[in-house]
Amino acid sequence: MKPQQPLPAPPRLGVWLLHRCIHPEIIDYITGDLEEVFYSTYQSAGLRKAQRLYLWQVVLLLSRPRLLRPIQLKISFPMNQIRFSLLSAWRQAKRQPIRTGVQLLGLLISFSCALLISFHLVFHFSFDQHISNADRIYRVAVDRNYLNGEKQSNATSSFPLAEAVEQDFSSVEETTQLISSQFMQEQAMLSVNGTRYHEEKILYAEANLSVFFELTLLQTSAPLTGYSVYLSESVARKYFSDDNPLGELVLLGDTLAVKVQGVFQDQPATSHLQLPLLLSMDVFDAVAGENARTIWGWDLAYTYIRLHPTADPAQTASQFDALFAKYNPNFSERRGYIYTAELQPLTDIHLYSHRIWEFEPGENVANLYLLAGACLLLLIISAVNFVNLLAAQVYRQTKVIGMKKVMGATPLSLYTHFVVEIGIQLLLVLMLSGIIVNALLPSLSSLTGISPEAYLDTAAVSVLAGAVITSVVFLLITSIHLYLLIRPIKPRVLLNRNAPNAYRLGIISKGLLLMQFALALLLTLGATTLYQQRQLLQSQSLGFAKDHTLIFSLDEVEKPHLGALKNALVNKANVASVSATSSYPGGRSERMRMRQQGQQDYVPVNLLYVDYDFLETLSIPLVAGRNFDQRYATDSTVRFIVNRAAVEAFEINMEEDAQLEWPTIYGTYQCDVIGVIEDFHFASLTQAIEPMVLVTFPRFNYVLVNINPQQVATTLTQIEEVFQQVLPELTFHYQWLDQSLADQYQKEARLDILIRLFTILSIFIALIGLIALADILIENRVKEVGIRKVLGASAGQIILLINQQFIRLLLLAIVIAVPAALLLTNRWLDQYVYRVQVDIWVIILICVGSLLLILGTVSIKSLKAALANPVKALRGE
Amino acid sequence: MIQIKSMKGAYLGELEELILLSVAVLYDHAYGVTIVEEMDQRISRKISIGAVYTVLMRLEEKGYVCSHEGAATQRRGGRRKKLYRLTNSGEEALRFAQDIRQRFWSAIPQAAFPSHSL
Repeated sequence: MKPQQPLPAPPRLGVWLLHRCIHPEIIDYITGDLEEVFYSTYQSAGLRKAQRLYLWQVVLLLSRPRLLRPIQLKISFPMNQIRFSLLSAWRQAKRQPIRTGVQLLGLLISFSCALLISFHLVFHFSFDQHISNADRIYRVAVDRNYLNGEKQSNATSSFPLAEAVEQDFSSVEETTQLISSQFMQEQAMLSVNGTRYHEEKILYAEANLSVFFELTLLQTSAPLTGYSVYLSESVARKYFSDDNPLGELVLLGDTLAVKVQGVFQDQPATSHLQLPLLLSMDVFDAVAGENARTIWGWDLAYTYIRLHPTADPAQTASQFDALFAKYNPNFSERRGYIYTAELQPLTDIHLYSHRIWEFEPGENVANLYLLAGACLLLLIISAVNFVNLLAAQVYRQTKVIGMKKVMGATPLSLYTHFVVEIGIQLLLVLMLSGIIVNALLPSLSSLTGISPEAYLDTAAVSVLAGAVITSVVFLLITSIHLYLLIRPIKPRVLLNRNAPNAYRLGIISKGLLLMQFALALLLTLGATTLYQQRQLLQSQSLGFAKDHTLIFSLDEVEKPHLGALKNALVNKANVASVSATSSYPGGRSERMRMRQQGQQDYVPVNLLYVDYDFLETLSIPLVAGRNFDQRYATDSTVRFIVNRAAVEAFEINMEEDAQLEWPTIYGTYQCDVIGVIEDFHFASLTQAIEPMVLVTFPRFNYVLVNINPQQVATTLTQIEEVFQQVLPELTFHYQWLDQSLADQYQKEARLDILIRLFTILSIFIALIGLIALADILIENRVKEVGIRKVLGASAGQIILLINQQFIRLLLLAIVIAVPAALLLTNRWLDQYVYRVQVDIWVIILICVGSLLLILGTVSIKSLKAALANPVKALRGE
Repeated sequence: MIQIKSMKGAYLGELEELILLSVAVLYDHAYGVTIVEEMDQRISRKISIGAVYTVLMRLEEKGYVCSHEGAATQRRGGRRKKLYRLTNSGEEALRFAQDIRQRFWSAIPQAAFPSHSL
């Protein structure tokens, strides 16, 4: 019989769609009808037409809701499945403690670190967000652009600016200003009921500041006008304990009585304006003189503006040039500079503004990114461990999965089983890391100086949300990987006797391992460079003796007694030298502009007012000329000692006499340079040494006392006695110079600790991951190793065999990581004036070290296999 | 006589009426494909199978038609037909519909037709 030609079938897509969507009760009749139509059209009009018609009919059918399959949402909680997953996860963990332990430990460590660092990051990134109109508030910071191209960037501006802005700019809704006592180079001293208090800084604020920055006034307060003061809650408690401070009097500098008009809640830790107390501007006028607030060119005020909601900040910023031209005519001739202004968004100040006279030293955003980066690397490394070991586990269970498929398990059910298992592990890790973070948060805060409460208040919610999101994303990624692993497993693996269990590193696993090695190397190289750089900075000579030097701060009240104090101190046996100065290394110096006589250009210099014993007290060596001397009468006013940097900047010829011109508001002084000193690091070591000029003009704020290193305790009591004799009303208060300098580097030092910790942890996690992987690999090759040994392979050859794929990966990782590390560290080092050169030998050392480490780690496992008796390996069960 | 009162609210839609008529015409062979063909041949109206089934299901719910399974044929890929037949109330509904028209027709004065004046 002639074989009948098979009829063409209706389009499969259409049939599939129908079966998916049409109500099961009528699906048979409808498909039957459609097929009938299809064949009759096929016979009358051809296949194409028939197919088209069929599909068109399907589309029309699908637009009939009555005919469609009712949508059924099957929500049944897979309790049994979860119980089974838990059980099997537990059994897996028991059977393979190393793998499970490594998988979870790595994640646990990196999760905990990431959570801790997130607290720190979120804290710093949420500064000033609590103010409701923060996005419209800007600080006006001015730049002084000198004619010679120099630029001085101040965080502040002149006081009259705010009024001018309010008058001329329609886009500005409100302004407020704040003046810090630090501009007057004075310590603030207040006395309450006969007790004296030194405040680091006191602030003079405009009356509207409390509303502008939404301070919470605790009690009914009167406006901040007249001779009045607002106290923060903590300061109020310090001054008045639990009494009601309202209406009480506070003496400013023992003379000026101001009345407490209000108490406000302490600013949140995430405010860049930490305000202990606010004095009214009327008090400022009384202290600084009536005219102080009318001078253009004295940048003493922090000026904040709030724009109208519709205003364009860029356009407002562009109007400032015209404003300065209007209010400061001929400024460039009279002052030698012109102003430009920058509008700094309120929320950017803490992280991005690093100007002179910042209200508080902000955080360097680069450091935060560094931390975040290191933390991310750690996370990735542990995630790689997790994923790789998961792959190994799936390979191990190939036969189990095959069997399950034979028994009718759908890919989906197998898949959910694994996903649930991972989910349980992740949940466990999350909870445990929560406990760890809770325990370690106090340690972090002792490292960073930010209280745990501040961390929790600002960051808890975001960190929790972040952790959940990260876990979900992680779960998703591993699930996708898992799906790719499970899908290709066919039931026929059961029939295949050719080592279905043998686990080889797949291409993804290899890639991930390569990435892991490269990242660990990158982190190690980076951390080493960081460490070397810090060492360089610390080992660098400061250029003066910082040890055994005490700093006392002076107030206006105490200055008349300075001579008596000095004499009394010098007479003590263990006091080596006493000197009065306007500032100390690490403190602030005045910026002035001078030029050498006959030269054209002015040079910005740091000016330090010192007395005759300054060089001796700090052991700063003279290079040329002489020290200040009491026998020369003119030394007391118009003689300069300069440092080497100044010699270069002024282009002074050291062989000849030199004179510097110093323009002041009282006229221009002509001053002889009588000596040159060696450069010393007055400012931070991260900055280049700037030109510095010393003059013996009595504007002293501090007394430096250098004592002999022996019997420090007795010397201190002696000094205290002297202070009590000369200044009986003063509370004895001092700090060590070396400690105050160390405080400067504390911030960077704590960063180092964290980075070093992350490096060690990441190496650790990578290595334990390697151990677990090697363990699985070797276990799978036990028979292979046995056969090789029987055939005469030596233990060394076998170790090499197992090691070689890891070695190959590491070499590749070195090729990737070293250039990347060089590139990144060089970019980071660019911010330093004094920087280390990255040493090629260090890189080689690290690479060889990592090679040995990997060899050693893998060999722990491979040695056992290599030395085992092959008979045991080859014996059948 | 047809009980008009009892048929109140049981008006047939136009498509419903046409398909019910087709079912009646086709008698023993009324199912999706034949109804579509019937509509096409008799009044040149193309409707989709989906529309036919939607209407038939509605009619069945109202009780105007009943259905039973027919034989499977090779051309249908071995699938059964769903054959429809007019029920008593279906017949009533059809008659009622025609009766209503008739009443209207008989009430129209001859002068109302424009063709009459010609």
